[in-house]
Formats: sequence, structure tokens, C-alpha cells
Amino acid sequence: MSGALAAVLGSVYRGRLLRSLLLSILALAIGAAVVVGMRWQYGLAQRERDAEAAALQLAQQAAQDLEALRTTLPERQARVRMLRSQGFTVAATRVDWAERVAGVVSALRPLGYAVDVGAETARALPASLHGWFDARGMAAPDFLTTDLSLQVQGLHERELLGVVAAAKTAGSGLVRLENCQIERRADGLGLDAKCRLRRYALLVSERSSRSPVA
Amino acid sequence: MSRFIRYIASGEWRDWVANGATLTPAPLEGGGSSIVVVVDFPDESYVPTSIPAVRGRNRRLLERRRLEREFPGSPLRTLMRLERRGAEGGGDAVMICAGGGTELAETLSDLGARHALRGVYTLALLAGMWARRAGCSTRRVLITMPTPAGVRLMYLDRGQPTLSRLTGPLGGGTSAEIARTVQYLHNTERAERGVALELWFWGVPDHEVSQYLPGDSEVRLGTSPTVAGLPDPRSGGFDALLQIAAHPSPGPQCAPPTMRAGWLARRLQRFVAVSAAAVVLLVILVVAALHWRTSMMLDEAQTFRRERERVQQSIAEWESALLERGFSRLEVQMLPDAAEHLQGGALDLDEALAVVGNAFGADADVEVSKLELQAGDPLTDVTGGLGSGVAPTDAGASPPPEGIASIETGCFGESAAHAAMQVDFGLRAGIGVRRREAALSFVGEAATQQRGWRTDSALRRLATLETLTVTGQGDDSADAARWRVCLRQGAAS
Repeated sequence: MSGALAAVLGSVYRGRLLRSLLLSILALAIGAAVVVGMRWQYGLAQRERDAEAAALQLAQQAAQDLEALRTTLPERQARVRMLRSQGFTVAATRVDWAERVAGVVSALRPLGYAVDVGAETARALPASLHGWFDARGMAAPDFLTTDLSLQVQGLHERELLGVVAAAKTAGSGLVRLENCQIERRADGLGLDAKCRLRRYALLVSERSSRSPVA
Repeated sequence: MSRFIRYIASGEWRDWVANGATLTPAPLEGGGSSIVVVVDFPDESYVPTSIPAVRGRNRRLLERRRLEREFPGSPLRTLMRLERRGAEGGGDAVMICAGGGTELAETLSDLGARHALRGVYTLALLAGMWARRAGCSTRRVLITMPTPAGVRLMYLDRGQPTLSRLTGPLGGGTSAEIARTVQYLHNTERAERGVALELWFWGVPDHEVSQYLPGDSEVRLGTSPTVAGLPDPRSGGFDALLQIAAHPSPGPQCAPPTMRAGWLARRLQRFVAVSAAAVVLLVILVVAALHWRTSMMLDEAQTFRRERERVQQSIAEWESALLERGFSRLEVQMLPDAAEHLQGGALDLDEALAVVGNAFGADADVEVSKLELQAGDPLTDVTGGLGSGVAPTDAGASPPPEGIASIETGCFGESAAHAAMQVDFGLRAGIGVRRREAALSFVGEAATQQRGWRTDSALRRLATLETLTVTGQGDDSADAARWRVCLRQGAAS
């Protein structure tokens, strides 16, 4: 074979052979380019298919969540109405809160008292609630918290319980007693108390309320 | 493309064009035709030899050297193997030179430059090809055949030509030439003495053959077989061998590659074209398969897209209906869960004071001096409510003041999930050791039995932790003792 090739390449037929070789190589190169192009298109189609499959899975997951939600919808709607009426979805009116609590305390004529309402602070939702938003690509809202610090001297136990209950109610929203220090006065004139209450609100923004699959 | 056959002998040449099985005299003109050359020269040589067992490139080099040594300066030569000896690979062979001298070589080179010269054959080579195709490769036979240059005597040994002589025209001297050839074969031990050598007459009518037979019994007239699909040289003679030469692959030939460059180039071109066509066909198949797969992928994507849009449409419709009722989906989904989550670790002051009253205040001799309560942090991710048993860490807890015995340190920790309370208490003064012990025992038992609250089990032994002192002045030296106890929301231990 090598002798034959050498004979041809050394002959007048060299040009003809090289021409046909070049044409064949050109045809092969064009064919290879076409195959590469088709392969690239196939890759694009495959990616598009995979993206649509993932999007469909997401939509189906959202539909399943919806189905689960439907079964408890009446109870949830009632709960939402109640929370709204309690003020859980609106920011605190700090001045009203402070004045109402001070009014309740002062009516009991303690030996002394102080009511402080702190600045409103945003706190991130815990991961168990945050995860619902992350899974749907939504911006999670923050809890808005406002602290009320209550210091009162010379109250009885029952009076103290009444003040704390009134402070919870006056705050509207969802108010928790976070901590309390109660100490018996050495002079026997009742109890001294330092308590901190925190009001929580969850504001659902326009952005986070949009459906994630829209 | 037409296939030509050129017959070249001393001083003459003739051309035919092959059309299937028929040969038509036609002059070879111009260039670019495919031609086969049949030479018929008196100096055609056949030299027996033996080849050792070598393979591959070494064998080709060996053959080339042998031919160069035997036929120096003559390019029209070849070597044919007769049989292989055992498993060693070597064997008998015959070196063949077509003769014709340098003039013939130049003529053929010029011919090869203008046309695609497929091969140069001798009549003996063509006869051997015929014999192998006719199934006569085991025979030893002497063939006598008239040619345009004279009468050619060809000896075939197992289907391969080992002798070829060109004698004068067919006539009275033919029988003597045959006898001389037979004698030569006997002398060179290529034919066995005493055994009549089979003799075929090709191209001579049967009724004329007898006059050309030698008189002795050293030869035996035979007839070559008639094989379907093969030309019959018995009747056709020289023309039949030309038809063999016109066959697409007639067999071994004598021309070197340099003379056959045109034909080799054509073959290479065809090979390249066929290979390229095969690859192009493969490319077309691959492209078609890819196109089909791509279409399928796109169809699937379209199906997924339609289904997704349908699902999204139904979700959007449901959300619209919900909005019309005054609720957003987010509110319905999140607000109840968030509010419920905030219940975790909640601190009920009423309940806590009731616990303190039951565990400490129920005994008149116990005086609670301070109570510190801490709710659980609802923003931690510790799940579960009561009974999770997670003790807060000691981080940030202040040590008890001097004089207070703490049953358990670290009541409040950072990010604790459950409510906790820390109770500082003492006993009334002057109640005596017995009542003191009773009061501490009460606290130790009562504090550990509060539903929903747990404490350190060591509290049960609270009464045993105090040093009992009885003095002559009264047993009230421990009046100033104070304790600090921690209770956490959780199952009682």
C-alpha cells in the first residue's frame, strides 16, 4: 500500500488525487460541522425540556400545596380574620400602647412605675417558616417587634397579674410576656416587678404576596 | 469507462476494447482509458526458487532483492509462490520476468503516464489464472497455444506457470518444440520421467491437433475442462486468454507501481470517494437521528409547558377567587402558622405564679424572696413544646449572690426554646430544725411534682443539703440560709 501511494504521489496523478482528498476532507468537515450544530441544537432542546420539566414539577408541587390548603381553608380564614382584628397584620401604635399601660398602672397607685416602649425592630422569620418562601422563590416578610418595658413598685400579686394582662391587651397584635423579675419588698409593701413584653406583627408585603408560580 | 487490452509482441501491438465477454478490435487513442497490457516476448523468463519463512516487510524486501538480482534492469517482474512448506511459512516460488527489454519498459511507462494501466500480464500468467479458476490447480500440464507472435508453450505446475517458451509459427516444427520442451522439463526434474505429461492444445481445432503431437509417448493429449462462466481457451485460444485479462481482477501481474500510478490513483480516488460517501451517509443518518431526537425533546418541552400553564392557570383562578373573598394566599398560608409558632415557649404569668404558690408558697415556713421568669425564644428553630428536655446553656447566667445555694446553675440560656423561672427563697426564722427540715422536704417534693414544669432531681434531697445545727442558744443559726431553684417548662423529672 505504501509503495502504491508513493508511486501515485510521485506521478502526474498526484494533483488529481490530492484534489479528491481535499474535496473529501471538505465534505467531511462540513458534515462534522453539521453534526456539531445538530448536537448543539439537541443540547439546547434537552435543556429546554429539562427546564420545562422542572417548572412543571414546581407548579405541580404548588398545586399539591394548594390542595392541602383547601382542606383547612375555612379554619384558616377564620383565624386570619381573628388575627387581623387583633392587629397582627399592622404595625404598632406605640404611643397608644404606652399611654394605655401607664393609665392602668397609675390607677393602681403603686409606689412608683415606669413604662418604656422601644423602637420597632425587624426580625427574620425562623427557618421553619422562612423555608416556605425560599422553596417558592419569594421574599420572606419579617416579624416587626416592639418591646414594652414595665417597672412598677409596691403592687400585690393579683394587681401585677392584672397589669400584665392589660399590657398584653393594650398592645393589640400578638403580645407576649418575654421576661419578668418579681421581688418581695423588704419593707413588706408588696412586690417590685420589672417585666418586658414584646409585640409581634407580620406585615405581608405586595411583593411577597404575589403567587410564586405566576 | 471503456477497458482496453493492448497486446504487445516483438514489432507489433494490437488493441481491443472489452465489452463484457466480447472483445472488439479498437485503437487506443487519447488518454485516460483503463488498459491491460498482455506481452508476448521470447525472452520471457520463469526461474524456480525457494523462499524462507519471513513475513511482512522483510518478505517484500527479500523478494525485491531476489528479483533485482535475477532480472537486473528489467522492471516487468514478479514472484509467485507455488506452495508452502509445512508450518514454517517458507516454500517454493517462481520468479517471472516478462522480457521485452528496456524498450518495452519505456513504452509501458509512457502508456502508464497517459492511461490507467491496470497491469502487465504474460500469456502464461493468464493461463495459470484460468487454470486456478477452472479448478485445475492440482495438475501439471503443458499447454500449447498459437499466438500472433508464434506458438507459446506454457507449463503449469499446480496452477502456476513455471515455464513459457515462444517458438515459431504453428507448423511442422511445433511437435519438435514440444518434444524439446518435454525433454527440458525432464532434465530439470520439473516433470517426472516415465510418466506421460498431459498436453493441452488451445486454439487449434481438434482434428488438426494430432499432426502437431510428438511421436514419443512422453506426452498424453488431454482436454481442458469447459467451465461455465469462464472463456473456453480450448476453442478460443489466444482470445480466451485476452478475455481473462479483461476481467476486473485477473490476478498477479508484472508491472511495478510506478507504471500503474494512474490506475492506482484511480483506485485511491475511488476508495476516498467511497469512504467519504460512507461517512457522509453516516453523517446523514446521525443528523437525521439527532433531528428526530431534537424534535421529540421540543415536543416534550411543549407538552410540559402546556401542562404547567394549565396548572398555573388553575392556581391563579383559585387565588383570584380567594382575593375576591378578601384574603391573599400568603395570609391564609402564613399568618396562622406564624401566630402558632409564636405560641412556642410562651410565658403564662398566671400559671407560673400558681406553680410558685404550690411548690413554695403552700408551706407557711417558706418565704419566696425573688422570682425571675423568662419566656422561650419563638424565633429559634427548636421544635416541639413541652417535654423536649432541652436544658438551656449556662451562657449569660449570672452566678447566685453570696449566701444563696443554687441547686442548678444556668437557668436561663440564650435562644432557649422553653420558658423557665428561677425562684430564690428562704425559711422563716426561729422555726427549729425539725420544721426547717419539713419545709425543705416539702419544697423538694412539691417543686418536682408541678405539671408542665421540671426541675433538677437533686432538689428532692434539698432537706439533706443543709447542715443541721443545734446550739444551747436555740437551733436558729441557719435562719439566714437562702436557696435558688430553677424550673423549666417541660415534663416533671
